[in-house]
Amino acid sequence: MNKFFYFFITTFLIATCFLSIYLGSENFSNINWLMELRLPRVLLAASVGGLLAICGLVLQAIFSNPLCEPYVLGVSSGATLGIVLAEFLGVYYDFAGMSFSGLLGALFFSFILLYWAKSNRISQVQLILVGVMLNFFGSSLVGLIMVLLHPSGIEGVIYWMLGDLSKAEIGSSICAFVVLIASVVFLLKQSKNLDALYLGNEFARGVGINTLKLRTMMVLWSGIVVSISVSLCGMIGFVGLLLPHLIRKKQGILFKNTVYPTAVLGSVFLVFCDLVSRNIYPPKEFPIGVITALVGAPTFLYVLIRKNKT
Amino acid sequence: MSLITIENLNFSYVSDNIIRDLSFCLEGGHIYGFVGKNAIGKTTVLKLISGLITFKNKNQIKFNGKDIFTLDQSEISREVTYCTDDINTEFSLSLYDFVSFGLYSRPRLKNQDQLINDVLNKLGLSSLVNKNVSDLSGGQKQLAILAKALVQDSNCIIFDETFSKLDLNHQTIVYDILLHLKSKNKIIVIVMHDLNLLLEWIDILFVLIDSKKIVSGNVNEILTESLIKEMFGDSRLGLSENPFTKKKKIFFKK
Amino acid sequence: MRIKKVMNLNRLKNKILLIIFPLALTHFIKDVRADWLSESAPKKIITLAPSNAEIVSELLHQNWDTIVGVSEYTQVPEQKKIAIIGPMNRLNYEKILELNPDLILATREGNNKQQIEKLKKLKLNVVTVGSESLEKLKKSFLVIGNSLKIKNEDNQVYKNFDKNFTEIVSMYKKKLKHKKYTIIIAQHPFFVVGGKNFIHDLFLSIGMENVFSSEKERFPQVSFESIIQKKFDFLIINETNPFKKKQIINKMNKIFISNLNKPKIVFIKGDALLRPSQNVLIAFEDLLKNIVSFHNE
Repeated sequence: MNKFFYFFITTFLIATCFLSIYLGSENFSNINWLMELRLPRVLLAASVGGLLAICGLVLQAIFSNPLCEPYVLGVSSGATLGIVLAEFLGVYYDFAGMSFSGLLGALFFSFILLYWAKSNRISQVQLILVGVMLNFFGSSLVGLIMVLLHPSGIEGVIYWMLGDLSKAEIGSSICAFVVLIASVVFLLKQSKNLDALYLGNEFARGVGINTLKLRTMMVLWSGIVVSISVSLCGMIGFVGLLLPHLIRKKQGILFKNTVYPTAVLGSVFLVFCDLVSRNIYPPKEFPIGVITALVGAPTFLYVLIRKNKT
Repeated sequence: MSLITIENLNFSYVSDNIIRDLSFCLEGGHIYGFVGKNAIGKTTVLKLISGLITFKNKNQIKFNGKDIFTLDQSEISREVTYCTDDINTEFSLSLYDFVSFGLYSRPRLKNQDQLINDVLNKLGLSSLVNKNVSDLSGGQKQLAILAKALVQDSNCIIFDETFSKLDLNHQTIVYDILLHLKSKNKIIVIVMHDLNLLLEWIDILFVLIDSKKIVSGNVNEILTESLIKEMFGDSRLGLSENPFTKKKKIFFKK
Repeated sequence: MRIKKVMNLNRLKNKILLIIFPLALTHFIKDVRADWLSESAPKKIITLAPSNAEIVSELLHQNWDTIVGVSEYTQVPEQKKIAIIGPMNRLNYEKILELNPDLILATREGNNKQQIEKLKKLKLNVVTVGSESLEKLKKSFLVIGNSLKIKNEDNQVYKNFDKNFTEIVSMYKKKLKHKKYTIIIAQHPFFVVGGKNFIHDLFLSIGMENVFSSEKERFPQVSFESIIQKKFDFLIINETNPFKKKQIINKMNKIFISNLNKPKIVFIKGDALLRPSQNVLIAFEDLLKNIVSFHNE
């Protein structure tokens, strides 16, 4: 726990946030606009970025699989289903920028998954398959309903599916931030238990960890985290999959060394991508999920190639 | 003195491999060898004892009288350590971190660093302390597994093919360690396919004939040619004795 | 001597032919054109966009008998049972062939090139119109009229449009000249009316300024921020859901805390204004009435 390193990355995060708030297509003279438009958005980006990154970190440990990411559990397709269903039925309720229908759909799928996660008859691989099936099922239902939707409704859903931070409100952004802080504290407490899972379920049991209880707890936690993230700003890919790898390369795999840096990296990355999505081609605003992949994938490939050369 | 009693053990996977009415006893201060044909259920029985397979039957596995059903996972890890023959992980962690997992069941131990370094020293792994455990050779990985078990220091240690890749030099080091553990009244259980090496090390032999029958006893007493035929069904195996140690040996008849 | 005579005769014949031939040709073409115009009007029409159906029904004086197929979301009179040939972006070609049309009316905006190409390959008679500008919109009335065998001078839709439009311009130009506006047609993502749009041209004619006129698209996608940063007097939003309307009003109130510089918000039901047919003027006039009433407050 290098204190200087932690201080540095925290300061870097705060600096990036300020930069993102002030940089824009035209200078804001009105401070009220900054508070109303920019601040909630940047805070939301920081919170969701951090949440998705640590969620990916946890899922990769739980399933001892470096390819796991927050949407593997199928929760995100539940959110999409909820939103599309609400559009179709004409029922519309947003609460402080959070899609209520999306949240309900996501939580519903989380609970289905939790039922399987609690059962000790289901192995790690089988649980991932359940998540994949939920994803397929959810997406196919979404596709079905989209055919029946009016074309103008479809565009909005598609844009949302690529990630959309424009609905940010200060109330829900603060909530998301609080959830992030609480999650980091929670994971730090569980760090020893999670470390053992990296070596497999059997190994973890062998050193005295109740793996079923841990798995259930973590599936529930990640279901809630993904439900909140997705209902606030759609599906933002890449953050949960590849950022944990970057941190683990530098800090090792132990959770006590990786939780906080992963959260900070996730926050910085998403705030930066938000900055890019708003300013690269004004007045257009690119969906943030597109920017994260465009920025992230080449960067990751570069890091990977450089590592293999040494 | 540690004691593990198995009474009328009954277990089956969904497919086959039924274990029925198995009963035996393991006492501290002995080195046990578990033999039997492939796929007869040795690993299953040992994993059941180690608490690695979820098992709902009561009063069939007891540690000093305490039913395994009443113990939680951390208590079981203080009673038994099950060692495999390989380390399988997609992630990179150092040898030191791997071995320190053994401390999970001993959170109040003082001088934890010292213990880990001592153990690594004894096994000649000190220079590899920071090396990625996936980059170690097969034999080094097995020594790492042994190191972690030594750190965990449970009452019973089960080695399931954990010594298959060791060179002779390390085999001698390991044998010394096993004798030391025996003197500390630990229960040692070894599964090994190299029967002759196993016979050099163990006191008591457990032979699993099929899913129900188990023959056990002192090696010199129970190991006969007819038993070997019953175990392996091959008349090309013969039995003799090491003239120096007086321990039984198996050879291939010409 | 004889040969020379023959050659002279030949040259004379050529000269005569040179004069007679073009005269005959024009007469011939006139005949053909007259024949073509007097050919019967199409009996089975399919419209691939709601706007085309509106124009056709108006040109035929509300007689929907010859319209055998329409695209989804077209408003047809209640008693009429007209086949639906699918949504604009996914036409049911089998249904179209089944109806055996002699005229199909498509739009450049609503139907894409591949669809029109495919219909032409199926040996169907397709006429495409566009509405990239006000001029093109007006021209589309004439083109559709021609396809129905209606001569330009008899095209009532075109004439009425011109007349009504001139009236509206004269009525509102003075009041709303130099007023700035933007029209948001969808949210999340935000699409506004850009500079290459007949709606933009409508407003331009009465002197109002579109703050996104520099965007050379029909409906450019913009960020909410960039909308807020522009100074305008009227924010026109396509939204009917009362919940969403309240949200927008609240958001604007939070952003513009004082009434200084705060734009007036006008809600519309956008499809009427966005459909390139003669009915656009009705929606346009309604909208202008709304705007003016705000202006007078």
